[in-house]
Amino acid sequence: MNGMLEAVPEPEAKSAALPGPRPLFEDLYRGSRDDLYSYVAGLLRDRVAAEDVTALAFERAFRKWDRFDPRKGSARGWLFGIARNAALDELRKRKREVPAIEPEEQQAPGSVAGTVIDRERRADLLAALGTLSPADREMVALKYFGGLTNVEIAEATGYSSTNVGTRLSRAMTRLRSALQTDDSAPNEEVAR
Amino acid sequence: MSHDLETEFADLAEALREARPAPEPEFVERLDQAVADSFPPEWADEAALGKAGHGGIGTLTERFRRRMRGRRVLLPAMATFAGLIVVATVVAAVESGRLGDGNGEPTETGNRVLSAGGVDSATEDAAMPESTASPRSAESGAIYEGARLATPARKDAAVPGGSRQRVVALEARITLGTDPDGTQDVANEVVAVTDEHNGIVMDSEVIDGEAGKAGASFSLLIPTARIDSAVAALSGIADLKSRSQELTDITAPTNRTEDDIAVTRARIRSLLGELEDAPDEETRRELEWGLRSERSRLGFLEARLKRLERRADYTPVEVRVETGGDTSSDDESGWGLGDAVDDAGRLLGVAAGVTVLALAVAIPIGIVVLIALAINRAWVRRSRRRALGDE
Repeated sequence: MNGMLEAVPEPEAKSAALPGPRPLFEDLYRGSRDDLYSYVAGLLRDRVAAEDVTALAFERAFRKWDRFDPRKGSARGWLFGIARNAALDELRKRKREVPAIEPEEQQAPGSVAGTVIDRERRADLLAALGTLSPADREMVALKYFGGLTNVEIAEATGYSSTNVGTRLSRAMTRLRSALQTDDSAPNEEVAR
Repeated sequence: MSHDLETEFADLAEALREARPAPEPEFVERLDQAVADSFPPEWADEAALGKAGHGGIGTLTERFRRRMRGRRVLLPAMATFAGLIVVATVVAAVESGRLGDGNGEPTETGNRVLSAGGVDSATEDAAMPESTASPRSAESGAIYEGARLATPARKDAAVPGGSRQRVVALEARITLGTDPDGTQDVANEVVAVTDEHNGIVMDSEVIDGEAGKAGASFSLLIPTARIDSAVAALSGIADLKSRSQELTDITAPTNRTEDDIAVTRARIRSLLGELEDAPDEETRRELEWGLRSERSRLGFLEARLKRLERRADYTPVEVRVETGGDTSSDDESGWGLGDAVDDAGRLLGVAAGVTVLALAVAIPIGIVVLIALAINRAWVRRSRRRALGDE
């Protein structure tokens, strides 16, 4: 199964993710801000909540920055771990307070003519993502929205790298199945 | 895995990267500003964040911390105030525990008496060998009522089914220090205080002379009901060098004597009855001899009971007045290096006591808090996994 993901090209490694001297918080912030937001928004499917959680994660990271130990892992993995806890707390809250919350409409910023993928395909993709379980969606969001490596995902989630690969592979298979189901079904609410 | 599948995942991955949600420029701007300002206390409210979390984002602790960050002086002040309250409470508890020692000078016997009196006296009295009812009234003055540690409740303390009460005898010794010239004045004061308390000066001796030789000694009897006040007054006449008070439980001998008196009286009554019906002279003589013997015994017992009652009603107080040495009152202030060491020792003792008490309170609370935190942590982890549908 890991072979599947190894075939998927890794995104360009971020400088903050490299092991080495302790980075500056500002560098971590600049290098991770958009990725972190994308991951949280992909997991929560709610822009407003995603902004709150992203901001909260950066604030917590800022307060705990002195406690970050580069020897234990990358700064990005650590930061995404904080964001993950905040996002899961938000999910918990939703389950408790608003059990049947509908996913917020999500639009890619580049949804204008001339972008690489067309709007309809993006809508299908995000709709299919919404059908996944939060655990699968999280894996996809961490990997492709957050741009983390498998090792960083392992650091953020506490799973082993091998387990991360397996989970990712499973999530991608389910996403593909969901897309295929969508393709065969009448396309009704794809305007996400 | 087929090449088609790999290609399909690669395409899917690429599509996902391109479709990823991006933050709104306004949000980015506000967040950049918050980071540049190191997340000031008001950032979460004023930056229009927390739209989803009404009233601010984050946990209660984080919101509280944001509020308190703007009041840097207030937090330490509150912590100091809370600490002071805790210390004051502990000190008050320590001091209240010493009330029974009187004037802050604990004596071993005093403590023992307090604990003996503190328990249900009926329980202790029930264990006494005497079980018959006593004719002695509660107004004998020998009960705790007159004792320094007495409480009104003890007046009614009695053995179930009887009227027995605890009888205690107090004894006090006071040593005062003064200069040779002040010996006579101190002696006069001792007598005056004794008179004020309706006491009796049994014996007294005043010796004039130089420091070390001059002095005085008194044997006083002070009504037990007023012993507290008398001891306090006597202690204040001159420099107090030492003071001790002892308490002896004389319940058993008192009760035994009372019982013996009752038995003897019964015998006398019986002998008198027999005497009236004596058939002959010889029998009469024998009965009369027995009657004399019993009456003599009754007199002895009554005298003994009186002594015991007086012993309880009046407290012997030995007062000694000394001169010379480092304990005389040559210096009116009277506070020197030795006193400083003593005070420091007492202070350290109190501090150690306070620390021990504080730890005794804090450690169980800390354990409970730690357990609660561990449970909460486990619960949060589990509920996060549930939120993820990962269980």
